[in-house]
Amino acid sequence: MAWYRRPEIRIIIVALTTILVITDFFIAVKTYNDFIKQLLVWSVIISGFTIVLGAVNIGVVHGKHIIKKTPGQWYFSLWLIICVIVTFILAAGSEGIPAMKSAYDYLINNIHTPLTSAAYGLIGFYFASCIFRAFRGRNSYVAVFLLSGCLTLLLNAPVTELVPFIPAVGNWVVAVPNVAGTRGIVIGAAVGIIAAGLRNILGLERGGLLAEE
Amino acid sequence: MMALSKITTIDRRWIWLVVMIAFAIPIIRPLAIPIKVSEDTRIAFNAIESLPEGSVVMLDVEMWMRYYSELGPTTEAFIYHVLKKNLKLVIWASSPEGAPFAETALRAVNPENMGKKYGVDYVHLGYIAGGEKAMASLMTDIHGTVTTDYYGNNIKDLKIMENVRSSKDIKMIACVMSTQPDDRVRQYSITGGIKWIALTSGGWVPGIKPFVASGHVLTTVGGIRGGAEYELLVGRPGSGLISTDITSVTLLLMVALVIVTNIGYFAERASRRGKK
Repeated sequence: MAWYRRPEIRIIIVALTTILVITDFFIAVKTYNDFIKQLLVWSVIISGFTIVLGAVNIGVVHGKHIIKKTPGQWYFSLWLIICVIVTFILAAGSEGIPAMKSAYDYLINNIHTPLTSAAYGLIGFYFASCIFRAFRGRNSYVAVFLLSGCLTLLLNAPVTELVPFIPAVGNWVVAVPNVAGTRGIVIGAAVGIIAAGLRNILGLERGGLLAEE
Repeated sequence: MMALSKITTIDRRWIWLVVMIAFAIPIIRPLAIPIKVSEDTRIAFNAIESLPEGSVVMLDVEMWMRYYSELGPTTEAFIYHVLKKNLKLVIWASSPEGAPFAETALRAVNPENMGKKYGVDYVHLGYIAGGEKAMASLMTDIHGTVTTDYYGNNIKDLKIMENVRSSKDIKMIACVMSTQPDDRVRQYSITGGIKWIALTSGGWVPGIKPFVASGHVLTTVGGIRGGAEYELLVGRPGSGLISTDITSVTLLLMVALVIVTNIGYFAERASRRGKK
């Protein structure tokens, strides 16, 4: 295997960049801090490529449907590609051409927003039927979960202010057991991230880019 | 018992019909259910009220347009409040759709009608890419992070930005968001030293509460109800207050559905045990 394809090279790159970024918190040397800031700017630029990757992937997947004329699918794929291209052209042109900016604003305010709001609003109906089919107190744990969920729902309904104990109990549930549980989850997640980061630095994580060929 | 157990077999289209009727009734015939302003919203309101005239407030908008019906009223009421108090407002978007979200809210408030001037009393910096890195960069050097506003103007030419260069010049931050607050706690609260207000969707209030309890976040203004409360406080009734009737009816309906489905479930279990 060529030396540049060895997994050790990749492990060293990952470990080095992780250690460099972490030590930035502890080292107050201007040159070093500026270098790390620049490194983080590069990471923003690289992460921007993931959007490009997503767009290319959409083109490939839906392009295949259009070429093969997949029954029941190809016209939706064609419409999707047309919408992506039109939106991209208007968005890119809106930076410098006033007419395209108006067209882009019209697209966002009068087409995109109402459509996405309507699609998001449909969730309410599916949520209701999901509640009806799934929210059943099969055991005591589920029953406690349902009870606290209902109290939290009622807390958001202004009409329940007319019943004195509901806001009091609901606020207590949010302020005490919820805060305790969420704190535990946040701390646990942070410890997990530290552990995963250490595994990356030490080269123990062998998935993806670090997998041996 | 057999009749009750049949509840669990109801076609979901009947459920959808009931939900649609529940949505429609308050729109056709407003119920005018009174709402009480919660302590959380009052804290947010008082925080802005206590700022001296001319103080700079930053509004970080991360929401997508599809959430405008939920968080639009809150955002509009907040912008109106800040401008009415003669504070300076700097808006930026931490997501691509945050920029049109903020633009829509600004147009709804129409600051020019309030005697405010763009570039002097408020500015919309547009979308700044980078997420947490953008927040970190804004806290240390705003002019180094962004050079033009949402409309293409050089920010050096805008009077409002003359003395707004870093977190030291900002008195309060509000974030229109619906996500984990960790990055903002790190950058705004810890690095920037500014407590901020979370204008968030109702479902995320429990997730942000621990940070309110720890003192990193000042308070939360949650969902459409929070928006309605804020509209009441600033004296600008809008779509938030109109929506509280719908919110009350549909949330009560959801709880009723939980009760009904459990009645049917336990009846079904009892009749199955009876057969054995």
